[in-house]
Amino acid sequence: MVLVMPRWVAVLPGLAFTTLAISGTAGQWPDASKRVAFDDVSKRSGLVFTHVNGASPDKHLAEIMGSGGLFFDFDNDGWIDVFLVDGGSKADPRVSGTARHRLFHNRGNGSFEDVTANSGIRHLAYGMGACAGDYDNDGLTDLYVTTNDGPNVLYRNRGNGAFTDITTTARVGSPLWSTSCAFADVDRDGRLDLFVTNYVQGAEENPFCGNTHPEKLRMYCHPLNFRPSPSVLYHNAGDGAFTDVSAGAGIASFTGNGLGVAVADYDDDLWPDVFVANDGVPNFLFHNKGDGRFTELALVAGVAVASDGKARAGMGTAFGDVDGDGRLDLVVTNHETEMHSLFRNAGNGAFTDATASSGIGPATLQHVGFGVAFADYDNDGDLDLAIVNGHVIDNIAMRRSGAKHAQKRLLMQNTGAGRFRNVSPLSGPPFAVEKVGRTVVWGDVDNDGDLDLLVTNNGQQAELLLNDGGNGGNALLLRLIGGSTSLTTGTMSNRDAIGARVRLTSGGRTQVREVTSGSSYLGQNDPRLHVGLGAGTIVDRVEIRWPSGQTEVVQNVAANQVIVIREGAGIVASTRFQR
Amino acid sequence: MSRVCALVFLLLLPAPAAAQKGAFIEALLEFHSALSGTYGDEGPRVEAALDRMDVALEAWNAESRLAEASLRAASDSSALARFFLNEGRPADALEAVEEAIRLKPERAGLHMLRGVLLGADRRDADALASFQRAWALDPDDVVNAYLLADALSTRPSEPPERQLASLLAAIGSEPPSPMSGRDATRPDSTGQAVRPPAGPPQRPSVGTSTRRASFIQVGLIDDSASEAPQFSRAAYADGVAALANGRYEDAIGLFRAAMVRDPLVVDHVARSGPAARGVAALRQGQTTDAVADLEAAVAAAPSSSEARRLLGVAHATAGNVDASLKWLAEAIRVAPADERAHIAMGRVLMEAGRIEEAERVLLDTLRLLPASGRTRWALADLYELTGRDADAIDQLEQAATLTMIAGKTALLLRLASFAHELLDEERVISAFTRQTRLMRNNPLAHRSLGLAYHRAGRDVEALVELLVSSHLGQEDAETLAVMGQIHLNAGRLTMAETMLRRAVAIAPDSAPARYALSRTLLGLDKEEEGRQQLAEFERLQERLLDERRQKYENDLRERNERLRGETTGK
Repeated sequence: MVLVMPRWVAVLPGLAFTTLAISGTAGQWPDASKRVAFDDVSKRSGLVFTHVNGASPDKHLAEIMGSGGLFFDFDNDGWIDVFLVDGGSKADPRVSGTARHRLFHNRGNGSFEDVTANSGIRHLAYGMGACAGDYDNDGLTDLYVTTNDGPNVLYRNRGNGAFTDITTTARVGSPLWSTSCAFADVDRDGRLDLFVTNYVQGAEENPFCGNTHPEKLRMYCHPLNFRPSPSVLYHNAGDGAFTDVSAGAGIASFTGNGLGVAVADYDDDLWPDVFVANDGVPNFLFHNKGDGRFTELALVAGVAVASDGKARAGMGTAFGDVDGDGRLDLVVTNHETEMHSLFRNAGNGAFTDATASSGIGPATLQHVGFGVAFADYDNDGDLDLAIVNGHVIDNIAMRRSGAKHAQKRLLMQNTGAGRFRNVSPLSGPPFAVEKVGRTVVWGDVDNDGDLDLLVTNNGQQAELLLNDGGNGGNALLLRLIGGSTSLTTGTMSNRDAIGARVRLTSGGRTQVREVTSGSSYLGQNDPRLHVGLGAGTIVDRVEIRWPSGQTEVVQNVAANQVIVIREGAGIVASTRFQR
Repeated sequence: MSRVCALVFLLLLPAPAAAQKGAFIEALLEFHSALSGTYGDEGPRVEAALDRMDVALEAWNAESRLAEASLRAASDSSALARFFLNEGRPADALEAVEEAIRLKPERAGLHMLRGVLLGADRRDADALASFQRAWALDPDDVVNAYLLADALSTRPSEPPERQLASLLAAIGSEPPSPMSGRDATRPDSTGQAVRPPAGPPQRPSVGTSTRRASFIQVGLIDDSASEAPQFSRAAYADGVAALANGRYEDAIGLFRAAMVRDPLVVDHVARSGPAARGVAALRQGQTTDAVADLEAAVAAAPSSSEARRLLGVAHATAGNVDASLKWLAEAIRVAPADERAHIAMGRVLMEAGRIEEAERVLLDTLRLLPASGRTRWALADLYELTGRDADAIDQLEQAATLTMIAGKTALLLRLASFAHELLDEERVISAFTRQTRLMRNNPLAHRSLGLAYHRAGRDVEALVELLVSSHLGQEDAETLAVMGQIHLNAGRLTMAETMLRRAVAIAPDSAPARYALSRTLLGLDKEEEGRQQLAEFERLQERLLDERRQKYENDLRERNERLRGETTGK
């Protein structure tokens, strides 16, 4: 495969204030925070999208929940593209008619092209989120869109920017109000299955809960007014159709107000597990038993509720190793006053609540959090956190002094060993503005080796935040392509290698990453793995545990490039970062 | 020589001195009360109270001289230091305690006392060194460990864990029992023997303190004795400041100087004639008669601001807003510095819903009388009424810098409430920290501060405060559960287990305690019991969730019924 990577030509403004010093990390890892700033380049790059939320006096709950977006490379040109989900209107068909999902093609020159019109992607219902994965292993990443009020939609990528709605034949059109989703090969048969979490039922019956306040003061309902929903697991039969196996898998009997989904092998037993962030009720951790069934273990594992035993308003979530111990920790965004949760993986199937000690709790106390992404934005070798916030009550300022509907987003720098500090004020204008944030996902849109952020905002414009200076440290981007059959187990990896675990060692430090599909809230990150290396110029060892169970090692890889590793074949392509 | 107050230790004083000091304070409180000038006829009470303060102070000084001579004759530096402390003479106390330390350097309590005195004198580094010395001599002294932790907390370079370390070492793995043998027989902070209580060790009941070890608290009047801030009148602020600095003679002089300019005292119109009748009617709620009499008084006394102010008050009581405002404005014209008339005008406007005018009046008052705590308090009321919590906080923060007779803790509590409403937990912490310093021996103050720290995710500081709260006798399930959670999250599982078992024993239905206990037990590999506790937690949680859902359902049903009723016109 040849990766074509023209130079990113966008001109970035100088950001003098980023020279403000904050005490940094020691050793070979530079304190990149001194010079990292983000800039919203969405308009000048052509990524122009304003979310239609259809906000109405009826206060339909869906109006405040969406919507999502993701990074994926739909045309395999080595430049990640963008898909943005639009909402619609529950109250006014005319408004609904203005909603349109958008597919933006990354031209690789600092600009995006709206290619929705010819993509076959249509706005069929009030959209919520999306996830992407090559479900048919044809080398083209497919797209699944969740909705509030209509069947969810699976688009098969036919190549050349064309997608076909195959929902009916694939039998994945869940009629429930779906939110986040993720592709994952839960039975490791080499085919991507699909996990979809659902929110509540009955919201249509009581749009604003009989709230008799004057229209100006009327509020959106609390989700506990409505019936909780079960999540759905679709098993990929391999013939173009999926089967709803939720009941047999032990998923369907658990109902919650699901909003966020993260899939990863938290206990390192090769089988992908599923975490569901629930709004107002305990979260779920579906532990994959490896026989097609799951056991819900959130309470035993310590991630169902916070350490005070109280369920939080879970929204977005992500797995990532924040303390460098090789185990995947878990972040969950919550409502204001609750603090966003960080659960540290203790390694014995249990997590400890590190919300306070990590510094995440104090920084998030005033925020209603949604999207969240672990991203080493400063390439210093540990995972930082980007979080977007925004209240769910649009008139909250009239109800509580000092409260805000639009809120600032947060950039939390990992200062080592999983302690975080809020560096938002030093990180550029996008971290100073207040928006009604919903999704944040990371991706390297300009292939320059540092992580950019895609942010969606409810009823507002989406933003592409370009990272300027993050590549002061070195890094490596890895794209994994699965496909070979394990000699020992006879199983095969899915082509996207979703579920592959990578242990990467450089300069004595080992970092762990896992290829994932859905994450954050209603979104999905760049499918490639990004590993910051600090001052390290060589990666001594890259160990890949493929979903098939095979392990492969690549050694002595130079930093600052995108490498493509095909299962069983090692590095099959590489391209230097565009700097 | 200046004095800094010490009435909290009133009972430690020689009895006559204590009595005289009590008489002084009683007169002071009467003086302060009369200055409110609610009915305009309090002038004579003001003068009489001040005279009584003068007399009491003279007697107090005489008794103090005798007591001091007696202690000096006994060459007991430690007792002398305590005496000076109680007398509000910190420089003398410091000198005495240093002499006591020279004689008995091994006595930890003396070093701690020295630290307290140095801290009061803002010699923070020296105070810290004294607390560290005391801790080195007696690491088990909880009070000193806390003071050390508190002193360390003011140093940004010190990691919070270091604060906790000394306290944890002093307290050990569990909230200390109040009458544990070691504590019960050990000397108190300055070496005075403490008798063990009769009977077996007992846990303190909620909200009570039965401990021997307590904080040295200085202050002329127990601040928490008042449930509302007792601001000095702006004109008397210098005198109150002198009181706070222990310059009692100066204070009386300053009060006298202010008094001769105070219309309440010098404007005698309300003491006789129609004004006196009007005031009497006002006191009995006969507003029509009051207005008539006071109008006559105004006519008879064209230069009396008091007659005009009282007429404004009478009209306000009768609901005649415009007339009230007219006469209050007249009072201000005649006596521009009369704080009472300004505030009354602001309040009348506020109650009439004329918010912008009220704000303007009160802000103008502050420009004229920046030391008027009452005006700031009224503004805070106004901002609360209009949902401007941040502005209310600003006013309260500025009011908190003013010297008060008492009740600053109440002001800080209100400040914390506003800040909590704004989710500004750091400000809540700031307010509760100041509150706690005013009432070190109040376990609930430490508890509030500890829980605020916990809400803000500052668990090390939270644990310090909660441990001290517990040491002072506070024991409730929530406090214990939070302490247990903090220990659990920090991996101190044995300590967590102790706390949480006690929490569950106190409140078996406490879901937070059950949950934390289950996680602790699982962490300690007590698998079976851990799972039992987890099952119990699940049961409790489901019940709580059902109750919550039920509440939502009921609310929804009620709202829908109401809505249907409105729609159908019923």
